Amino acid sequence: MKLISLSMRNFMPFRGEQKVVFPTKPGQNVMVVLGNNMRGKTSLLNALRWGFYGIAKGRHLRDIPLHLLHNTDAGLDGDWEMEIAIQFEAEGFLYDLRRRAIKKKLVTIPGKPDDFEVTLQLQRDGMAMTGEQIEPEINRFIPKQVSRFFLFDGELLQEYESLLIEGSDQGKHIKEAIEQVLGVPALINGRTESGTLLKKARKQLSSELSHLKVAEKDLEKQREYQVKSDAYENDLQKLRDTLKKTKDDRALLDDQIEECESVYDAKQKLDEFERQRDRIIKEIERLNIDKLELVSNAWRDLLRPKILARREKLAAEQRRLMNQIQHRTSIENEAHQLRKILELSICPTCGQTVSQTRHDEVNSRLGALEIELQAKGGEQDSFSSISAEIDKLNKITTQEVGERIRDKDNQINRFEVELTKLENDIEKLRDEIKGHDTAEITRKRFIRDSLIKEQAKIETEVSTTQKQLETIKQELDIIARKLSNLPQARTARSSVLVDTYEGIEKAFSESIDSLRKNLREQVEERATEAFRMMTTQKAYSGLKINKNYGLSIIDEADRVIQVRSAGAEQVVALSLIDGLSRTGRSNGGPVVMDTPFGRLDLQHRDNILRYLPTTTSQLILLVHDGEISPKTDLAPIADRIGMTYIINESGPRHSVIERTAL
Amino acid sequence: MRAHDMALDALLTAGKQYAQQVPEELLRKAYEIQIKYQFEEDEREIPLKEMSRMVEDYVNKTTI
Repeated sequence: MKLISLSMRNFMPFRGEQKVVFPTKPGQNVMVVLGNNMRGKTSLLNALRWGFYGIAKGRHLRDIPLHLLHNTDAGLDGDWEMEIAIQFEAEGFLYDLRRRAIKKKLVTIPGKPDDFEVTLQLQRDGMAMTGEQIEPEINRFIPKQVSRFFLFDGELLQEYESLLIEGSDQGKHIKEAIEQVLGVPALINGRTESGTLLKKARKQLSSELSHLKVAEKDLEKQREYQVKSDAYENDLQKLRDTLKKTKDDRALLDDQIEECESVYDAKQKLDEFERQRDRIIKEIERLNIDKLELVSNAWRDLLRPKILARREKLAAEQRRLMNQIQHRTSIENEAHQLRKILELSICPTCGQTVSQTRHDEVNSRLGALEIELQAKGGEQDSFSSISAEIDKLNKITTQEVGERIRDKDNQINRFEVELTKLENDIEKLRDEIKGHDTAEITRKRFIRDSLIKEQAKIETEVSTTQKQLETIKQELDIIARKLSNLPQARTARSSVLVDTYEGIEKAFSESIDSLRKNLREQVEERATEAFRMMTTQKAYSGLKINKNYGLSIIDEADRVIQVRSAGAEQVVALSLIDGLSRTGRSNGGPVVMDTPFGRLDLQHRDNILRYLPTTTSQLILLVHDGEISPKTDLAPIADRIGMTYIINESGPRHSVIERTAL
Repeated sequence: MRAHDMALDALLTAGKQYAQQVPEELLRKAYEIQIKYQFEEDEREIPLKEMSRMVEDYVNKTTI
């Protein structure tokens, strides 16, 4: 299958009629569409999606409502017609597909999808196909269910990482999509439908055998188990419906919560800032009380210089008196010694008799000392009195109160600056959340968390009920075999029917796991081939697949690489897509990639650009100059590029796509 | 081998091993029905009816 052209009219930013022609020569099968962010690269991808399937995807792959796809400026000019026309060739036929949306006559300004009337036309070699033939015909070449493997964007590439997380919801979802590409649902549906028909045939056989006495007991048992089986099936269906609803509700809430995530974050911050503000206000109040107390003692600071001068003077006097007291003590000691010499007439040091001359000298010295001692006196009393006065002065001389008040003022100032900053931030946050019901956001988060728990609970119930149902079915199988082995049953037509359906159901049933195993092996082999071509790390020996089709990188010693870079993740995702595409699509086909090189270095981009055009019928790359430099990065595949376009901005809601040269 | 050939191959192999009473041709036809309607998730009555008709025809032929 090959795309030939795409015409867009008033679709998203593409106002008026704009046409893109795809490269169709086998050796020049690459098309490059250059466009900066917000110009309309993803809208181009959506034009193909909407043309083929009537859907367009926004962020997180959510559907964009029809009325939002129409170009706003065209609407302002009263042009309410939007059309996508895709020409493509497949199996030797030329197809012309047109999907058109026109405002309904009674609607003035469309505000919802229903305000548009949508028509779909498909011509094969110029012959119009009827309405009910169109979708099956499209599904023959590019089924909607597998579109994620040929119409994809960078955001989708990251989803594949979830395949490595056992039991993740997203992983399960992608696994189902992968199995659809690979044809597993055909076998699963075959098992379900042959099982339904088998049940019906068994009922018929039981009814035919009901008159037989010999089968009475088994038929009774069969009826009993059948009632139980029906009840479990009902329960299971109800549980699955509830589970689906829970998941849908949760997905919706996730989206709503994400949309107002910034508001929620702002509210959280606001609450925290308000708590901080209250703490600071309390702290300032406390500091002010402390300050007031200090101020009440501030008068002491006025007396402080005089008190300090007096204390200084007293301290000097105290020191002087201390010296006098010490001096007096030493004179008293000397006088005491001299008196002893005079009394004993013997030298206390050498023990010799003191001469008369020395005796007179000592006597004279003692006389002088006694005169000195008589002249001094009263130092001790003065000393005590001064010490008492110093103590009194110390009591009224506090630490500098002014200094402490200044310290409190500094702290108060610091807190007040912080408070002003917080109050500004609080004001900003209040503006940010103005008009949003933050209580509602909190309520939604609470409901979402409850739904997560509810989902886990229902999943457990589904699993338990399934096991119970399996047990009942095994019992029913045993009884059915017993009944169909009765001589009277062997020849009955309904018995042959049961036997045939049993065989078909068994064959479908047993083939599912074996197909999955074979597919995994094949996808692993092909993804490894692609990975080896695209990776720059030659030490990696390949990829290993898990039950979810998640791929791990294996090193030269056959060990799993546990930590992968963002670039490696992207190369692995591209390898998986290539492996799936080559395993699942028998006709090759075009691949449209929106912003696929975001996380890749130059060498990886080079490898990918060389490799992918060899495995697809057409490779359409929607890129911006931040991820690729057209002149240098595309040089290795320059000869494979059959067509280059650029999307330019013509107005805020109007882009123009034009042919360009690299 | 492409995925759809692999699916048919898996079905026929399982048929030979577990359902020898069912001829290969019947399994091929059942598979064709399922492949044709594999993406019709909401309208399973058509393949169900086609499967039923196919087996009824087969049983009618074999029990005459």
